[in-house]
Parts: sequence; structure tokens; C-alpha cells
Amino acid sequence: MRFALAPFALSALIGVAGPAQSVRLPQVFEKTLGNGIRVMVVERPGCGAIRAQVFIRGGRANTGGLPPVAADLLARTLFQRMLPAGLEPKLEPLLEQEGGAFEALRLDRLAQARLPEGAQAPVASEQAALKALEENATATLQKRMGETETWDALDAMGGTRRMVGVSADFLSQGIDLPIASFDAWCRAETAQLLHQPVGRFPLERDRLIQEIEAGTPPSPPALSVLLATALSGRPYALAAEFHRSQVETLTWRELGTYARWAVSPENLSLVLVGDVKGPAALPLLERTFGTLPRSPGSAAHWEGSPLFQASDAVSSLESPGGRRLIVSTTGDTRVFFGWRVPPANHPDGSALRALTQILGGAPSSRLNQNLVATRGLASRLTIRMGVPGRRDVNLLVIEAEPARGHSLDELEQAIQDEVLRLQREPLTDLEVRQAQVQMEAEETLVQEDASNLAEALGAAQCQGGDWRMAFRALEAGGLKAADIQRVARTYLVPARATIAQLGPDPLLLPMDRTESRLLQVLTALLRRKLGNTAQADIVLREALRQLRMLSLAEREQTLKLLEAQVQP
Amino acid sequence: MIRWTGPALAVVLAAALPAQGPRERQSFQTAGLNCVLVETHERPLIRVELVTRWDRGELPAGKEGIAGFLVEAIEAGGAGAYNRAAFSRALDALGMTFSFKARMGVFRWTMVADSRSQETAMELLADAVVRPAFDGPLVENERKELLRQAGAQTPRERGIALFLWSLGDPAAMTVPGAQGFDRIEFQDLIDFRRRVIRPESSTLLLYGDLNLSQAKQLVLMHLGIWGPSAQAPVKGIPAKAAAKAVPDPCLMAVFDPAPGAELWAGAPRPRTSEPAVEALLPILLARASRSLFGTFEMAFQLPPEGHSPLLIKAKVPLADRDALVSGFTAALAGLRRNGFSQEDLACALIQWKAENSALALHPEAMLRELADGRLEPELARAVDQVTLARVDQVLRDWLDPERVRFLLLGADTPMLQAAEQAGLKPSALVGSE
Repeated sequence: MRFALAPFALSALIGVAGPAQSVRLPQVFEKTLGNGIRVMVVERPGCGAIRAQVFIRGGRANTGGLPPVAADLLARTLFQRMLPAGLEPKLEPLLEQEGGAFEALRLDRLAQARLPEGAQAPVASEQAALKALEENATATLQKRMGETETWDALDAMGGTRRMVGVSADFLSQGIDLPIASFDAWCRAETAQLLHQPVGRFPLERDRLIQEIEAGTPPSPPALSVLLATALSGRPYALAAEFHRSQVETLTWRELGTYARWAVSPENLSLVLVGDVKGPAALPLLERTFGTLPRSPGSAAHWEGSPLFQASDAVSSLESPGGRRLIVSTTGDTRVFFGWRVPPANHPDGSALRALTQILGGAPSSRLNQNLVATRGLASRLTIRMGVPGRRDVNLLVIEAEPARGHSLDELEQAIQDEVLRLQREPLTDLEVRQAQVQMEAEETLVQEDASNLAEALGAAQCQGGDWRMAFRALEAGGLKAADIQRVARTYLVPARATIAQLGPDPLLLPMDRTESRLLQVLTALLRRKLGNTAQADIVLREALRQLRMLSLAEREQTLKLLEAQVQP
Repeated sequence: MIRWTGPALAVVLAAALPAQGPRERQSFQTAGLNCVLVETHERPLIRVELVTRWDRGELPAGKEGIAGFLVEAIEAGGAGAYNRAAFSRALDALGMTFSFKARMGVFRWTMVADSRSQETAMELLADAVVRPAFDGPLVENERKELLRQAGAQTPRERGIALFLWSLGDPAAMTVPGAQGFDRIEFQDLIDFRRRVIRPESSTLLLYGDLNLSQAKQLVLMHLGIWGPSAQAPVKGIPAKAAAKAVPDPCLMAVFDPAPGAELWAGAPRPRTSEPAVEALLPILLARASRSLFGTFEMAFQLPPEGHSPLLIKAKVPLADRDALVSGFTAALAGLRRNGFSQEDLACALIQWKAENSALALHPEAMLRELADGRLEPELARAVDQVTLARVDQVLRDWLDPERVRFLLLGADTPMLQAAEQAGLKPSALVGSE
């Protein structure tokens, strides 16, 4: 026998948690170096190690006119391994040679693809010579850099848990270091940021092409469909686009120019968590990172569509009338809801986060409880804010996969119902307090692990201009039901929404045996009546999509009825 | 070119690095349960992790899928007086984070909570571990779902499942196909749970804002009545035989329409185990894979669990797929023949010590290392004594061609011919070309 936890018991449990005042913000020592680099230090005395993380504001949404993939290539090229100082100039002739051969081969492939049938193909020996030239150059580059692949300056310092991150808003590099190596790391990292060696570009480019070809680009293709539609005209619209052609057309010289533009002190933040005292570390940081020269004209460091302006909030947030997409995929079946919401530093940020928490932020939240656990409509459901970034207008996204026997339409409708319920019915105090408790718990937990804390501080600094943005629930507290409901009514509205249903094309990839049989029967029926195959396919596709709204039992019943009509 | 390596540098840095992570840990035992406390009051948080170990040999013969089935039942079921929904609500009400993770032979429950809620957190964790509430119809649904999933596997998924199971990989919790599920009864599940989840084979780790006296009280109050299991561990089928519920061919080939081809090599753990060498081996192998940079994408996996096999996965660009089999087998043979260098060993030692010395920054990882006994001073001393000859010998044992098996994903006829030329005769085929 089981007992459901009664509301009074929940209230009692929350009572145990007590007031939030003993939950603490991290003690952050912050300082801006003379050249504009922002430094944040959190002490962990006695641990003997330090987590150091460098952030470059910019990211996939701000690549100085290059495609978003340039951000990934820059982060990997600069941060994956550390080239020895002075190596890059020696590699330049090789890089030129490799780049030239690579481009010639690319143009050759394009020309061949455009050749009319029967036309004479280019001379094979020329292609072979180009290929050999490119392979030789690549092999020599690999040989010259092979040593740093297995062991570089950071390894020698005892650097571990190395991480390279790329988002729409920033690039980052994180590392754990023994405290004895901190001085050496500051010097090496400063040299790296000063010279921005991009000699590893051809190697990283080839790796990225392989990832894209294997169907595992840095950002899932489904997201790019949603962003391009929901944020058209905004800076993040193309931030999830990864195409082979974009990677192939980039050159190492272009990457170098982008690196010089992006890596300027005004864009840099440095976060240190560990056995270091902020004031004591400052002289060293000034002697190293503080010597990086400001780049001319670096104040205007945003290219592309203008960022969100609070004075023009309405036009920034309205999507063009709300859109609904049906996308054919090769297998993925899911529904996306994306609502335009304001950037991280907007006053509605806390209420929006609470709304997200109440809707789907915990196992017992509304969508998880009602759609996944109780009604079994969804097999998986997630809700995220800040997609793909938080510096400009972005999306609050619900992503759900239907459970077996349930259709995308059914799931979409159920999500719509829950959103409407949130907008119309008053929230209970219990729900609001729970959301507050959960958000505070999340912000406290983020402080436990040094790399999570460094990531949160740096991301908030890059996205909202203040590390405190990462701890708004702990700092402000006092959520109100009316505020949450107001933001639900303001932002989760059709005018700001894009809904995308992704599913296999019913004609090419029937979702189960019943649909496959339905396709056969309907084809037989329709072809009799509609002579035009193309027209029949359109009707068939729509009919099968409509039938997906029915349960499995209902579809099987429909199949029996249709089969009776087909049989002579 | 500047060289960053060298024995001299390695010795200096290795000597400078402390070998151990947390210094404040305190151990105690309550009601047969080994407990370790790492006390820190920096944040108002407690993290509690309970790790239970059991032997793969305890899987009942003919019901080898029971471990995976038990995991599904635990994840779907409730705890104590709560059903699943009520349990989730109780956790969410206090903003607690709870997780249950299972691998063959190891179950882990983790609870993170505000330290003011430590009583409730411990009570809920004890409920989940000691008093799981299985729901008959739900369990039956889980069985149906497992059977459905087994039936809906793609050739690639089925090939991987067969390969990992035959190697005894801890990640392979469910026996491939319907085999091992359909004969399991509800009572089997209950009995198996009682047999494998026992205090005497468990360790409780507590980290955070509580002191020794509080920790002892909490454990006694909530886990004190757990007590040793009345049922002694029952030997079902020997561990090796359990792993071989499906045959273990030298080369299993999977025909698969996906464009990328991959070749995996797997080797079960050698009979003799050397923890000190095995602490360094993953680092050395990762270094070896990076040295193949540009020719192969090669990834080594050697999880620390006691029975984990060594897995090596290789993939190449589409244009080079013809060279995959010959190139990979040659690379493996070269690795076994040449072994590592003194420089490799010195670098691995630096990295191992550096990782351990930074553990205080990562409490979750630190607790995992503590639970798995990898922070014991004896191990640190043994690692310092490891010689190159021993490392190379252990590597040769691991990569003994008699023991290594292969899985070819995305195979086609030319690749199979290449495999035969490389001495790998395909002895099992999944899917069709």
C-alpha cells in the first residue's frame, strides 16, 4: 500500500528547510585589471590546487562576420593543446601550402559536381598532385605538432581536467592546476592569448569536418531549425548552423584575423577558484594578463544584428506572428516549443526562471508529473532557458518526445493545455515556495564543485555583465505568484512562440507496422481515385499525419475498416 | 622545438605534488556498514553516497537479465511509504538532488541536500536503499518494455550489446535479446535485491556540513536497523560463465546502413590484477591514443570497476574506411610490441598525482575515488614504485591476441576481406548487407 504525500506534509517539509538567509552567495573577490580584464577569485584555502578558467566574450553569435563554426575552430585551435612559443612562424609556409592545396581540391570537387553530363573531367594527374601536396603538408604539420599532442606545457605543469567550451556567447578554457604551477600558468596563458597561435587550424578543421560528416556536429541539427525560424532577424538565429561547406571555406589566415579581433582584454574574464587569495594574486595577474595590449577599436565588439535594447523590448521579443513547423527527419520524433524571452539581465529573469521550474524543472513539476508520470504521454521532457545564449533575445524551450502509442499532436496539445492552465489558474503558495527552494538549492549546489562554480561565474559575467546573475534566487529571494503568472501571460503567448514538430516522413519512414500497413491500404485506395501520383502523395502524407493523432488501438481499428474497403 | 618532457622535470614536479586528496576524512562503522565522513563547513550542503558492491557470479543461471530488471524496478518504484510520485515530491519540496546509478556489480545512491534537511535526506536515502517499494503491475510493465526494447534494437545496437555483454562490461546490465528476462518472477527480484544489497558489502560516504557525532547519529537512526542480510550470497553461475551467456567470437561484424565504420577491440581483465599499474594505465593509454593523432581517432576506455574490460574504439574518415582494419590491428600490435617509454611513465605519474591533488576542488569525484579505494596511502606508495617493465608486462597481458576480440560496426564485404587478411575471421554476423 502506498500513500501519496499530502499537501500538509509537504508544507511541514518546507518548514524544516527554514528561511533562506543562511544560504550564502559565494565570496567573490573581483577586480578589473588595468587593461580591462575582469578577474574573479573564490578562495578555497588549504586545498593545494586551483581551478582556472579563461572566458572570451563573443562566441558563435559574434564571430566578426565569419560563420558560427569559426568560434568552435578558434576555441579548439587555441585551447586544446598549447603550441611551444615560436613554433607558429616556422609553420607558416606549410600552413600556406596546405591551405592552398585544400582550397584547390575543394574548388575542383565543386567544378566536377557541376560538370554537365558527358563533359570532360579535369586531368586526374593534377588532382593527384594536389592531393599529394595537401597530404604531405598535413603529415608534416602533424609531425611538427605531434609532440604537443601527447605532452604540452600545461601537462608539464600538472594541469588536469582540461576543458574547452564554446557557446553562443563565449569561448572558454578551464584547467585544474597544482598551486605551485599557478605562476607558470599565468605566464604561459598570457603568451598564448598574446600571440593567438592558430597553427593547429588544419588539424582541428579536419576533425570538425569528420564530426559533421558522422552526424555529430557540435550543436544538434534539430536546434538549428528551431533557432533559424524562431529568432530570425536576431543575433542567435544562425548560432547552431554547422555545415561542412562553412568549415571548408574558412582559412587559417581568416581564423587568425578573427582571433586578433576576438581575444582582446575588454572581452576577457578570468575566474580562479581554489587555494589562492585574490589580493595576493593581483600583482602576478597584473604582471602577466595585465600586460595584454588593448586592441584598437575593440570597444565596438559586436557585429551582426543589434543586441536587445530595453527601450525597444516589444519589437525585439515579438516573433513574426508565431510559427508552427512540421519537419521531416530521418528518425527523431519530438516536439519543440520555443518562446522568445529577454536576455539574462532583464528584470523578468527571476520570474521566468521560477516559471520554468514550476513547469518542468524538477521530477514533480507540472509537465513531468502530468505528462510523463501520470498520463504517460511523453517518454522524455526537458525545459531550458537561455537557448542558445543569454546575451540577447533567446528562447525558453520545451522539448518533448512522445511515449509509444501517442502522437506529436496529442503531446503538443497537452503542453499547450498546461501552459494555458499556468496562465489562467492562480499558482499556489506551496508551488511558489517550492520553486524558490529548488532554485536556491541549485545555486548552492553549483558552488560545491570548483569547475561548476567557475563556469557559472564566467558565464554570468559574459552574458549579463555581472557574476551575481548566476545567483539571483539566493540574492533576491521573495518570489511572488503574481510575478510568475504575469511573465507567463507576457512571454508564453502565441505571438512569441514557434512550435516545431519533428518526425519521420510517413511515406518514407512509417513509424510502426500499423502505419506501414495503413500506407499500403491508403495508397491503393487513393491511387484509384487520384491519377496524379504527386497529388496522391500529398493527400497520403497529410492523412497519415492526421492518423498519428489517434491511439494505437484506434489506428488499428481504422486500418481494419480501410482494409475492408480495399478487398474486392 | 621546445621539449616539455624529460625525466628530470617529471621527478621534480612529481615530488612536489601531494599524492592524496582529502585529509580530514574520518572512518567509522555502524551496524556492519563502513562509513567515511569528510567534514567541511564551507557551504550549507551535505552529500551522501551509498555504494553497494556485489559479484556478477550472483546472477541466477537462466535469469541473467535480473540485474538490469532490478535497476528498472528500483527506478520506477517508490521508497518506504512513498510511491514514486510522492517520493519525487518529497525530494523536490526540499530542493534535494537524488540519483541512483547502476553498473554490473555496483549500485550507487546519491543524495545532495541542504544541511538543515539532513535528517529528512538521510531518511529518504535509507528508504530508497533499504525499503524500496516495488509495484507489481509496474514491474510487469518494465519487463514488457525491456522485451520490446530488445525486439526493436537496430543491428548496431544489438551488435554492441552482444559484444559488451560477452566481454563482461559493467555497463552491459541487460543480457541481449529476450533471453534472461522472461523467466524472472516477482519473488526472484525481491530475493536478488535482498541478496546483493547488504550493509556488509556497502560503503556510506558523507561529505559536507556535518560533524562526526551528527554523522554517527544519522547513520544509526536511519540505517542502524538495516543489519546484515540473513541470506548468504548465493553463488549462481561463475562470473566468467555469466559473462559468456552469449558466445564470444573473435570478430563480430555488424552490417549497418549508417555511414561511419568503427572497429572496437575489447579485452577482458587479466586474471592477475595490479591496482597500482592499473591506476596509471588509463593515463598511459590516453597518451598513446593522442600519439596516433592524425591517423586514427582511437579512444581507450578502462573503467576502474573490478571486472571492467579494456575497450578500444577506432574510427576513420569515410574516405579511409578501407584502411580501418589493417591500420587498427597494426596499431594495436605496435602498441603491445613497443610498450611505453620511461618518459611516458614519468608523465603519467605527474598526471595521476596532479589529478589526485586537485580532488578537493571536486567533491563528487573525490567521493567516487574514496568509495572505490583509490585514495588509500598504500596505493599511492605502490604507484610510486611502479616500474616500466611491470607496466609493459601488464599491457602485454591486456593486449594478448588470444584474448582480444573485435567488433566491426558498419561492415561491408571489402572490410570483411580486409579483416580476414589481417587474421580476423568473422565468426558472428549481425544484420545483413
